[in-house]
Amino acid sequence: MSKYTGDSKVTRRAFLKNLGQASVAVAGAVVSGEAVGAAVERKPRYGMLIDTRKCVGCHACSIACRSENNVPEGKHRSWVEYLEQGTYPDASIHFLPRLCNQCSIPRCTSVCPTDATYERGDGIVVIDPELCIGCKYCIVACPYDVRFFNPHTGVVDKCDFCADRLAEGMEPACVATCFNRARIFGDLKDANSQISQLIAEHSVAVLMPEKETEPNVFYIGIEYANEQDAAAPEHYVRVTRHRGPAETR
Amino acid sequence: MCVNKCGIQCHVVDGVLQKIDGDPRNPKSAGGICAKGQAGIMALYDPDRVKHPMIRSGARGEGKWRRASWEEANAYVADNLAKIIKKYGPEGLLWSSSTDLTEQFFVKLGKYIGTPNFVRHATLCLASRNVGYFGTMGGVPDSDIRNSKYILMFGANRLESFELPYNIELITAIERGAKLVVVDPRQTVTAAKGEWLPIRPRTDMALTLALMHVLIEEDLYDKTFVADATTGLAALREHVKLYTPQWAEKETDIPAGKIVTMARELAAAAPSVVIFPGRRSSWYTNDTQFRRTLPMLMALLGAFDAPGASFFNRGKVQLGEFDWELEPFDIAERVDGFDEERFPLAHHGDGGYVHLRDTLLAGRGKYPVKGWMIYKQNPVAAVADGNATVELMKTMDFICVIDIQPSQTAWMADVILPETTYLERLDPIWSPSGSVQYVGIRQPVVKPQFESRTVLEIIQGLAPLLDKKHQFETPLADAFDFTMEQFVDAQLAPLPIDREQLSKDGIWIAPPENTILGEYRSGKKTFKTPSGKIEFVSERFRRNGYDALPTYESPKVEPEKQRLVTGRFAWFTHSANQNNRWLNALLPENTVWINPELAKRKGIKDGDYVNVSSSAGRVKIKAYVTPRIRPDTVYITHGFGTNSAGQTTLFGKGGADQILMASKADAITNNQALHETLVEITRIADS
Repeated sequence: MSKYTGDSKVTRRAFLKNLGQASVAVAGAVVSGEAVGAAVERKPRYGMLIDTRKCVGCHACSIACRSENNVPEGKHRSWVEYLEQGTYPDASIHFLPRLCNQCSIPRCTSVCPTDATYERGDGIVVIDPELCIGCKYCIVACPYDVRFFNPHTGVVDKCDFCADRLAEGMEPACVATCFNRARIFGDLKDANSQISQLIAEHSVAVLMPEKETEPNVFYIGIEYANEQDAAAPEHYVRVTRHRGPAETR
Repeated sequence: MCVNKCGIQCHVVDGVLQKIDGDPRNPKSAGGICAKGQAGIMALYDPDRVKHPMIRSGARGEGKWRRASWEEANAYVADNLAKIIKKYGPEGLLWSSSTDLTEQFFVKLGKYIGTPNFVRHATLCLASRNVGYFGTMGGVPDSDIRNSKYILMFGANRLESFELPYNIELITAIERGAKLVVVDPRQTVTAAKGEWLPIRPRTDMALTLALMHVLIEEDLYDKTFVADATTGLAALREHVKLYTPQWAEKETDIPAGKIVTMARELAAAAPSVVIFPGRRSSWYTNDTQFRRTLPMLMALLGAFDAPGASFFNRGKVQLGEFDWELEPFDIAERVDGFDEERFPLAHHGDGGYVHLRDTLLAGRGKYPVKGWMIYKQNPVAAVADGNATVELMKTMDFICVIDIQPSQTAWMADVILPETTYLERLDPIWSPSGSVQYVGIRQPVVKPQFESRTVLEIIQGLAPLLDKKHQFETPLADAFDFTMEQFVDAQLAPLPIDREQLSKDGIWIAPPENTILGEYRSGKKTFKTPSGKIEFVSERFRRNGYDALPTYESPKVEPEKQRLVTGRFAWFTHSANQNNRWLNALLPENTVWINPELAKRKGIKDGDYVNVSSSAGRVKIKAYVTPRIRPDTVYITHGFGTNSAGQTTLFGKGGADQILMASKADAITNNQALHETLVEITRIADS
């Protein structure tokens, strides 16, 4: 059960006051009622909510993911971007944890020539390594740059919400390791799940809503931490993606 | 991986560690573990690990080694120690180590051998905080951050330098609407999550004194608490009279109006205020006196022994004592005079690192010290003025380092003995101080890799050889004739759980007991100070020649130079894991943080290589131009610039802060003062 439910409204107000901002959804679309509607099927629809206000950029998630999923050095399923803003002394730093958005309208699946990558019915977009031929079309098609070619396996790889852990009843590695519970994982179809309740209580947003991919990874507080905010790149002193010089694509 | 010892569960397949997860039952870490904890696998399987004993085959520090068997290495170490003991006595040995569960065995070996010359971790870290707090209120209090309304941190960086449970509670408190104010010349992540007060470095005491001035002058202090639980208010009132907010503004660069507002807001939030003690207090030459002002400020606010305030926790679970049968015998006095007379208020058993090194280097030691045994410590990186530490090593006839990796210090040794990591051994039982009392057991999840041995096994290998060469008061082989299992059993004897059960459960949590607040307020409990109260005026300090009330002194300023400060990112601990491949990838090379205004003045662009020089040394390092630091301050993350080519991931990248730091220390405790160095930055022309 959510330990934040009780006073989240108050907190939200205090947070806005601190930020001195009026709008809460400049970069993202507010989630529609459909996404959190009552469950009509028995299958869940998995999603993640990331509260960037609680993220301290410690990279526990990044390393947990690397360890759990044997991600090769230089490649990333999950990472945290640092966004520095402002001028001295009104400077700030915000953190944007990144992973596959598990889109409801995924761009990656439709371009796959072998149907190796698909949404498996519970919201998770997976890759069948037996079918993947490593053509990398999906890597190019993904607007979020979350896929990579794994030179060790010869196939494309990306976040699958730690599907193996889920099968064993465990949370994704990044969620389980987070000291501050900045990541909440759960069933979006279950109105009583912690993630559904938090989404209902907060103004949440997704990355790049204009791509109309309907991500199932939601964020609280990305209005000030969205590197995809193409409208104002000068907004940032520096964006550190923590993906190293040689690792993207 | 670090001192917090979060609860972990390890997933092992066919004897190979696959994954480390947090243990949700651990009262402090509650299932979370940080990047370091997750990367423990890479410490275990680090290709750069010391895999077998190594004996130097080239010149010292040249990096030429030959593989040795344990038999040969043990004979080599025992021969050399015996030679030194024969020629100079046991006091001819310097014995240094840092805090961990197994350090006690190494320290005990030194005690049985009979050297007085121990030097441990405290004066590299928190000695000034401890003496400041103990001298004022008889202990370092815990902080009820979870329920606090106002948390004031001086430099403490709990969101990057984790200390359980504060790092977790801080986020909870902020979400609940608590105010967090962080006083720091650099905007750490902690400062970024709260209100950042970019104070002029080394003027923190001016702020605390001015806050006390306002609390007293505006009659905002907690009169009941001050009357019941403190002594010396009249003298304090007189003392802080001149420390006005207007005066403090000139010192601290924090507007007077802001200081007044702060004092009023603190008073309004009291008693649910945490004046956070901090941990690493190795900042300034007046650090103990600065730290004293923190509990004084706390006391004026009555922010003690109440919900959301500071409090004394229940302490640790009382473990059983292993019977060491170490009878007292005559040992020499310390070589460096780190004693009652010279440092009356310091903790002498732990030594004073800077004082020790500089005394020996200056030839002022009371007798020759020619051998150095080092366990789980990296003084070349850890002590200010790294070049001087290397100089001290050059004066030694023999240096032995026990470590898991070829650290900078190991690289300068004559022999390196490979230890097991925390994942390969049974360790003594651990019980942390805290609100929830529990004990944890660290047990091996995989077999020791390569030829590594536990420090107890290493000692047991050396003991009989040393006994053959020297008659010790107690034969060493007898003293260490026990197993780790027997040691653990002795520790667990008073508890209602035995080793077998604890090994299965991993953790034992004591029956819950509510923390009782109010007993200090009511006078039922007294403070462990001479007066039994929180002492604004310390007669003990006065008697020993120190200011009875903390007195401010302005920092030295050279307009064209910047003050160097140091710290860490959340995925590094000291100099321990910068060579861990997974963690290193997050920051392969450290940088010097430079304010944009200063960068512009110096013609430095982000990413340029610059020379940073001080009275102690010079390093070449990449510039990181950021508005998150004051123009008169620069910051370098610690742990880079290794001289050890054995650390193949780290070697050749970044610059070492300790090379730049001048040899300075706190006057009272000899805690090293890492933020007392002014540096000059110049652009490297062709970069």
